[in-house]
Amino acid sequence: MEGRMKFALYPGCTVQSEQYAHEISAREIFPKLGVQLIDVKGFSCCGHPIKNVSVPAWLYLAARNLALAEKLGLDILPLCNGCNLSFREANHYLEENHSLKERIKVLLSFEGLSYTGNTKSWHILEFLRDIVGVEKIRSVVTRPLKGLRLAAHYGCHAIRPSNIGMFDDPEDPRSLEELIEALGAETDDYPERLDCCGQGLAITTGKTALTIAGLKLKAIQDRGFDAVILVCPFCMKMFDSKQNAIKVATQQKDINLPVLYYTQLLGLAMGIEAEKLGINLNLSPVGEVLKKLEGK
Amino acid sequence: MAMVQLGMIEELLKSEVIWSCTQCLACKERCPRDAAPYDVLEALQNLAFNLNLPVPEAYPAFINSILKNGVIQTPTRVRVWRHLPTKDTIKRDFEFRDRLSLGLPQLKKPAEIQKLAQALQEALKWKEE
Repeated sequence: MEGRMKFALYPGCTVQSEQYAHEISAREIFPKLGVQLIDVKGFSCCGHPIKNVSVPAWLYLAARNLALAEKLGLDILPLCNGCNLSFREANHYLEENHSLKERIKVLLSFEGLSYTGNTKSWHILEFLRDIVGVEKIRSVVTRPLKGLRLAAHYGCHAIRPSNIGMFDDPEDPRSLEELIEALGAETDDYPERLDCCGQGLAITTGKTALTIAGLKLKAIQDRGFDAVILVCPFCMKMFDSKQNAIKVATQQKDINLPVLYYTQLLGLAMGIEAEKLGINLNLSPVGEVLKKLEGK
Repeated sequence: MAMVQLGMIEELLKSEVIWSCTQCLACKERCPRDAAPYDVLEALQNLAFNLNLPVPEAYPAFINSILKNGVIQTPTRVRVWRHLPTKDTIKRDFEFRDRLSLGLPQLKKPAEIQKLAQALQEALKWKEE
């Protein structure tokens, strides 16, 4: 493929330390879509987790990773809504705050890095829709996902805040639905579609976080969807990793909803076996999706 | 927001309420006055940290981890199903695997982690945004 199809893969702390399924499935599918993922030495935290206590520390860390990609002349592809928001918001913020930008540049010079703000961070949905292309995705489907009815969950930080320049309508996004339908599966609107997963509360008020996640899972299940499709490791932690804890906390013992990353779903439609997509790492009842696909 | 308007900043800085936001940013998207509660909370949270008031323990832990390793969490071992679960699965049949055994490349911390730590310490000292 031509040189511009090289992108810096930025898994982010959560994916590279525990949400391995997103990284496994991304590394499996992107080369097959003509995208070369480059591992960049020296990437660190994106800064987003400490933005609440220190905006300058967030800006330094975000700019540092952007500078590392910039050194290689590559745009950056994060596997996390939070990391993508961190990079896009930092670029926007530093563009508007010149004195702060100069101060951040001094900190970056400690490691000999330079930051111009010209490195774009691509959200994975934006990347799939605009760089890979929906037509290309349609063309690699060898096992159409006929008969599956899937709920799209974007995650708040994929679509908001729109004032920094996001890639989809903040009140009515369509990219994920378009990408799901390209695989031959069915999707539908539902009233809770843009509701939060609750993860932002997990570090302070865990029970409330589980309740928020449980309300959405229950609603999706009651509306007859076969699974939830998402793109963010934090949403995944809530809906998938903590599904058992949600059942206990909300007294909703009948919640049993498979949760998959879009990259895993795409891989299945490409005929790739579940294990190569890390589907055996998902903790929700993902076997149901495979059973349905196999017509059992 | 009412407490902010009443000037009850000191009470707020010591209150847990400023840490109980999902950060869904819906208020930021919709606020017609460009004065989203999220932005107010973030300013109060930053202020509490700068004044050395108690903050949820996750934040100092994140910072210490970044200073040491560049990331908030180093790789863990995770549960991997031996057979994909269905809704009727009762026996939780797992094995534990790490990055390497899952075929993922090994991670190295930034080569010049001391310089990263030094720069981050500097940034953490800045009081204004």
